[in-house]
Amino acid sequence: MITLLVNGERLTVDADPAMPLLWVLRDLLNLKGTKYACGAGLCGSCTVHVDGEPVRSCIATVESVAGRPVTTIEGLANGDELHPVQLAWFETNTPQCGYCQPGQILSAVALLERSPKPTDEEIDEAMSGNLCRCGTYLRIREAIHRAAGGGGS
Amino acid sequence: MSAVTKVSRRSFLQTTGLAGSGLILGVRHGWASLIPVPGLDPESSVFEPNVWVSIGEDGVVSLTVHRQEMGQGARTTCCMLLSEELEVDLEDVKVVQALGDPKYGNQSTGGSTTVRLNWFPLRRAGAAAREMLVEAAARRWGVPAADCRAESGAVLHGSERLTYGELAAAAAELPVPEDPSLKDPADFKLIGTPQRLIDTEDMVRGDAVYGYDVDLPDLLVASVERSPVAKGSFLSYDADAARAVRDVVDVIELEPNATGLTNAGVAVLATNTWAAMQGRAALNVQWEPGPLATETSDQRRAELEQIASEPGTVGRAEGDFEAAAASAERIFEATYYAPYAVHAMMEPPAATAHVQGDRCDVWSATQAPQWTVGEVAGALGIPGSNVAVHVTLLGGAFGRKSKPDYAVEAALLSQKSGRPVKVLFTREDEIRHAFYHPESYQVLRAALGPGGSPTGWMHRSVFPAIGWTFPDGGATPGGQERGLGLTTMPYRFPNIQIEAGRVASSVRIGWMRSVCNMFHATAVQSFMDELAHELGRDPVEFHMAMLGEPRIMEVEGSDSQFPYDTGRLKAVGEAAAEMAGWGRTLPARQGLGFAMHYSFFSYAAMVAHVSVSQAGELTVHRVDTAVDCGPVVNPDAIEAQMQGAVAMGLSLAKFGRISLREGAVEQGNYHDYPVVRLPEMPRINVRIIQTGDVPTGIGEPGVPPTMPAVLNAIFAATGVRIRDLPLEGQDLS
Ligand code: FES
Ligand code: FES
Repeated sequence: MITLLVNGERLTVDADPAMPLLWVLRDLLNLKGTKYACGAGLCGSCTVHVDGEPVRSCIATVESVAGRPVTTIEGLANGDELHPVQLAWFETNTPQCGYCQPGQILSAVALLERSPKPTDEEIDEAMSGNLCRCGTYLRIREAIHRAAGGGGS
Repeated sequence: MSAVTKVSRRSFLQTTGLAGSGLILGVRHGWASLIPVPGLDPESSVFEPNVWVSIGEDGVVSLTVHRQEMGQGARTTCCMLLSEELEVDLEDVKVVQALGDPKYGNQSTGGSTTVRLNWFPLRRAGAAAREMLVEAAARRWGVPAADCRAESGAVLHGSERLTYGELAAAAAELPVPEDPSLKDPADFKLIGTPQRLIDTEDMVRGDAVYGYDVDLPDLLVASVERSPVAKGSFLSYDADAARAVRDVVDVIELEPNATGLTNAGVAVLATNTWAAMQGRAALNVQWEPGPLATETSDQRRAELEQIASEPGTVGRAEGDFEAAAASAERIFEATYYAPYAVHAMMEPPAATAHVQGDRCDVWSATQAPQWTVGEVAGALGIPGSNVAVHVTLLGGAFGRKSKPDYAVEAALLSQKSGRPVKVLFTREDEIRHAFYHPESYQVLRAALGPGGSPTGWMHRSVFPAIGWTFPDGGATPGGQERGLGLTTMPYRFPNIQIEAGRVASSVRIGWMRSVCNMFHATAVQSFMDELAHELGRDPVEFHMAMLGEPRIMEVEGSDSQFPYDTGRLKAVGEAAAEMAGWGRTLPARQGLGFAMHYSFFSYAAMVAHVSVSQAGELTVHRVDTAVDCGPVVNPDAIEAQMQGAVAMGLSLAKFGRISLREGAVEQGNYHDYPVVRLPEMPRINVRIIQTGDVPTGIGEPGVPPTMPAVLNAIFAATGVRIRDLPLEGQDLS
């Protein structure tokens, strides 16, 4: 049994300790907002926060996050109220297919916590690990500026 | 980060059960399961004038969407067309995703067809319902229908007002008008205005349900080891080792299916994805690769080149190119090559099936629910009427998810295991077991008469046809594939010869966002640029001069219903050049490149502004693009589609390469099949030009001009002409 702290809830799971956090979240905890796309730390779709830092859950074993606070996309909104970064994504009509966006949003939340008014260069750097095959990148950049309280770059 | 606002948008993904009982599959915040709940039918609709619109006693207006959402906005645009004529507010409707069913007409979502083919049918469906509701209200009040008007889900007459819910039962008694009158476009309130995609809130919350996310009680997850070479077979594997992995339940062999969609494979079924993957890794399958295992990309390229040296099937001939060539002062020739490419959409293929007796439910991220019905029914040996295909959201598709292979695998595995089974492709599976964008080799020749006047155009395109994928398919590119940018060449040459060459393929061929238009536009638009430079003319001026006076083209790939008007092409070309400030002086090693292309009955032109460092590093700074896809339904989606098309075109230009070694695909994940990342994105300016009264496609037309615009800009910046794709590994210094 492994004890996890997910979105503020303490949970225990019976899993192979080597199972990546991604599959524990999706298959054992039914938190399917965290997405698989490469399984190899190459695309950022599976990004969650561990101790407030963005982590690729497809290559982090469940054992390695035992007892540490994990935040997934499902843990951002406060009921009906979207997190400001989710709201910025919503208002800028950023998603196309939407599949990469939970990972994008979690990377952006981490960036904004580190740097509340990021420059384009900081955004490029922080977001370059998150792929979007639909090509929503320009709106992602705009959404981050919006969440930061600016009108745009 | 301060403002927190409550967002009220609710969207629903709902469907109908096997036995016809309504059931909710998922509601935002209630997505907890996709389990059918028999008997739960909150709709109990009383008014259903057609398959698209239903209004319940509770006043809830439900709109059925029969096209699939893969990021292009289809669900939203379909709702806009219905809502505009029905006179309901988009925020108030409930959206129902249709099952695969012939009653909806063509549901296959591809070829940039959703708006073009549904512009009239969906508006008529909405208008018919509106007329009946207005008539019901007029009778209730004893006034002429002409004196009443519909607005925001209600009918009004003076100060009187009846909601659609109040009128639904009475409207249901009226005959359905056969020829309802459509609104004058000048009165549109919704069509033509920017609208957020209806699934946006679900997506940002992580609540949106894709094929990968389907869950059912008792579900097994399957990971399938497939033959690395098409048509290979397995010699041996270690089922015991797979079964020894914790949570693995079963190991099941899959035979290739008769329609050529699936290859041989060994599936490991487990109670979770990780266990299925671990079990699969332990299988250690030994393959007999079969006759296709000899092919490598280098050999194939030589073969394509050889075929291109001989005449192909003629797709368009005007005048006499050979005679023009014989009497030409000189011949200008260039050849272009592009390798196989793959979709690499973020969500790999995924489908779930549950076979119960002689019935099967499928939940699939599919572009083609009706094809899925047919293939699953055929594979299971049951009638199509016993197969229900529920469509999830698609995490990108770009043509790959038009093939129902993964649903067939899930259905067979459910039949054999007796449990619901979800087949999940890994990224490596997606890249190695795809239906590939074909590789191509093209020869272009221009005959130049006295003073450099162009007298002849010869274009021969060699690429494996999509027919190779299917046992009964034709192997020579047919008119449909030639019509994708080859025969549609718009320039006025007095003598024209356009041919397609036949070449076999050892991998399966499929559709990928804009299909053959990509390599045809790359060749035609690069060649026009080369020719302009050869003749010492400005490229944009040369393009416009060669278009000549606007005319309607009738060639393979045109359709009189949506006339191919070179005047519209010219207009987008001139607009893009103007937006980019064509002709301005740039610093050294910077350049502008122009390209324009007609596809899917739409017109797109682009100017790329690039710089190339002394070390040969490419930066695309800006893309100015003008597009004409007729009257606009959702301008916000058009801008998004053009941005996405540029991203995809740029990815292909820079990195798009699938290569073969002994018949097997060499690439496997985003490290060896990269796509562009945020820092590589140029600024993109989109101008929409609206011509005519029928909308055409927008999902694909932005991709083809991207590659040649960038290649032409590289030439302008450096003098280096790239004729082979991708750019990766080539020296631009
Ligand atoms: S799925 Fe984890 S980085 Fe791609
Ligand atoms: S929105 Fe589709 S992959 Fe990013």
